[in-house]
Amino acid sequence: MKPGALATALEIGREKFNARFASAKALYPALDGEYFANHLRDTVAPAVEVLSRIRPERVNAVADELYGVSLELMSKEMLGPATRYPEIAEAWETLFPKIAQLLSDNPRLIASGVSNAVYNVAQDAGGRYRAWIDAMGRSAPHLGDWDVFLKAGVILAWRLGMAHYRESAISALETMPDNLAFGLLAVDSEMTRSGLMKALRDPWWNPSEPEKKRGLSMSRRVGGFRGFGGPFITPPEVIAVDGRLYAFDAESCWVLFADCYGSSFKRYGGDLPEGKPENRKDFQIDKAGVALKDEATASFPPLADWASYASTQWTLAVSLPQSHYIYLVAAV
Amino acid sequence: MGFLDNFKKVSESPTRPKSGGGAKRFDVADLYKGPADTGERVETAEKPQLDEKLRQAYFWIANHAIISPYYDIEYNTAPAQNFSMGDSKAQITLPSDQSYSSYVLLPLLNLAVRRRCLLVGGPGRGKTAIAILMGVLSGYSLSEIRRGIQHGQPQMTIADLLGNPLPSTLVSAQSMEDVKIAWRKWLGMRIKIIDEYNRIPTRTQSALLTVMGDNYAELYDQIYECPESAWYLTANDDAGGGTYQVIEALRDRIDVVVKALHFNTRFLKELLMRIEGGIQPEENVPPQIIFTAAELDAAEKEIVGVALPDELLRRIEFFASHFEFFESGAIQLEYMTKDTVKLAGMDFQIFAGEQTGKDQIADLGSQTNNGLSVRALMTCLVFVKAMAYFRGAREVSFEDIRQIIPFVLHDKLSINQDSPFFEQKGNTALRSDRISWIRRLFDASCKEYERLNLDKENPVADFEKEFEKGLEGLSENETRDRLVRMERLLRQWSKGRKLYGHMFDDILKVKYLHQRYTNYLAWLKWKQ
Repeated sequence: MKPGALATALEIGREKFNARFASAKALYPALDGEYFANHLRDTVAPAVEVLSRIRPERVNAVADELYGVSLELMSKEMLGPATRYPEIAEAWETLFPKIAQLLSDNPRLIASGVSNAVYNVAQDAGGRYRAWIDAMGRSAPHLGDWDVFLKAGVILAWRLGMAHYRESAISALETMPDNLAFGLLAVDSEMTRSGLMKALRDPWWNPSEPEKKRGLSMSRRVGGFRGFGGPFITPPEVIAVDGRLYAFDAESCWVLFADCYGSSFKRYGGDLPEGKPENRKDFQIDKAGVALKDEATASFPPLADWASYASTQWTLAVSLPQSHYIYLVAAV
Repeated sequence: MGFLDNFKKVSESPTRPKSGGGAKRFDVADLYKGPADTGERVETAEKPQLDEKLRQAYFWIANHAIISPYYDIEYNTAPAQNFSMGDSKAQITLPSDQSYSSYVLLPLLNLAVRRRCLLVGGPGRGKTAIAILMGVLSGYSLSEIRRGIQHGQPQMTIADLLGNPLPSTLVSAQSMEDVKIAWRKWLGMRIKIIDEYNRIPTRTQSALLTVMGDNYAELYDQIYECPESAWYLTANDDAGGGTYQVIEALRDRIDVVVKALHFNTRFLKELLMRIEGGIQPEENVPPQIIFTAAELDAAEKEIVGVALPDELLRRIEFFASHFEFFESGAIQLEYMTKDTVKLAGMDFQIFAGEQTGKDQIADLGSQTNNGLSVRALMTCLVFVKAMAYFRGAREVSFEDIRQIIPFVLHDKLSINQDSPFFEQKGNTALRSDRISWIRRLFDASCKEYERLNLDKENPVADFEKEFEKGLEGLSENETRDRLVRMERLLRQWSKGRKLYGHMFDDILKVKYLHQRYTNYLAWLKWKQ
């Protein structure tokens, strides 16, 4: 191992660190000492090296926590040669040196939290996790403390298409100063804070296209057959309960989240939600595929002869008898 | 992350997932939850529900602390897979829903409802260890708990158990009130552990009985009021043996009996790791699963608030009604009980010649020497509620009752070894396996309940419902009508040739209602 800040810290607690590895190895025999040493040298050491220049007094404590988190993740094969989640090591290598200051404040929380976040983003948004890592790295110098850093992570995940974080992200924005909130959303700074929060009530309001023409439009197609990576095993149907959209097939029910940034399904369970469905309260669509909301109408021939439809104040979800997809019409 | 870190890990919530979790509002912390343990700092502000905390405690004990890989409390959401093994066709069932080890679960439920739990089993099976764990879960330090354990031994005196008069006050006292007592500290604890209670001399057992039964201790006319506590008693022999015979009143105070099962040798590696890691479970209880006194109070209140549906209560009533009735024991119906015979100091065998021709195998009452006391029935109700609560339900289910009743009635139902039922092929093992015996009794009772179609045709329940509406404003005609209907029902029953336990209670209930209406009718006439 190269001599350096991490090596020095490990040397100081050599017996303790060796004992921790040995007891972890007893529980997880697949743990490989050589790979673990490589991980420490290639992935952990760069961040600790940066830290040693800005907060040398925190090096030992941070090294201790990063060692523990590394051991835990490698035991679970979230790191290391056999991992199916390379995004975690990538975040450690590229992001941690940029957030060394934040790491020093709360090393376990930040190291574990970022590992979990990048894992979750990769699960939900695929390869876009790299955009999340880049954005977090760029934003880090402006974020002040680790609490703001974590909140910014949620906002950026939402912007990458994880629509189920919308409510959390808006709550996080409310607690942030104007410049940070506007910056994270890439909103024109001429807008007022109250104007921004009001505009965000509409899930289809896109900060990058604030003046877009209003009307009904086919927003996107979501879902799909499970065999091809979608959630449904049979053509789904949709319902709306208590202001939320749900989709269900022969086996399961999902909550459908959708907005201008993307859409996501979160499994609800084997049962339908409790409460009275209010599918047709806000939108209507006839069998010819003509949708109506308030004064606005639009024709969507592909949606003719739909199997089911449900709507919330902003979104119409339509399912077809022969399709595993759900079609979203937005009032934009 | 080492063995110790893993040892201290608490199961992630929810430990019993249900449908509907996806609709919750997503929290900032959700993005940061995943395979890596972030510690406690990103936990949401919401505290876990107490039932969830109980389940986390259960899973920590079952997964890390006590090696008890026995899922003998079985729940199913779909038909379970069964396999028959060996010549005896021993059944092994693979439950399809979350199932539990009674050895861990029942002490935990006992902690929540603060009753008295007897742990029985051979030496070295972890009886005292689980009792100590319950003490640590209640917030006591290990040294406090260890100091508080009362170790039963043949020389144990009342002073050893309760305390001593202070010698100075003993000399100077002018009256008994002046004597000051140095009470033993364990009396003030919310967890009371009596190790090997069947080695305590009989006289000291009587003093223990007062503390257990009435929650106070008495010495030299001085009274010490004990707080509400969960009791854990251990015994190597549950048949009442040991150095001293356990007095019956003390045995009767035991609410639930749990057997420490044998050590499964397939888990020897776990023991090896503990030796190598120097791990003592009781020294490493995670702080997240330790209950405060207020939390235990709140949990008990929530448990009592769990609903018990009428139709299930009726099944419990029906089950309990089988056992007390003993037709040959008296002339007057009210005294036809096993208690009458026992109070007379007579042997049931004396009445064998007086048998009324009932089917002794079908008559569930023939399998016991006693009926169920009020205390036993109250304990049943509390523990079935606790079981439902533990599973996150706010209403008791049929399976909760079926699973819990055998442990509560283990020492409450005295088995009649002379019953012809046990001579039947395949029933011999039930003489020693009381859990299975009581569960089968309950199943047979439910089968009979269904055969009699009592969920739909239950005239006594109909009378009860009418009566519960109150007598105020009830007309003379209506009162007479009800009296006639009761008399008609009794006449109809009198045509049957056999009298069983469940009918005994029903008849007495009809008589009770008839008497209440008769008195009311007399009052109505006087009023006119």
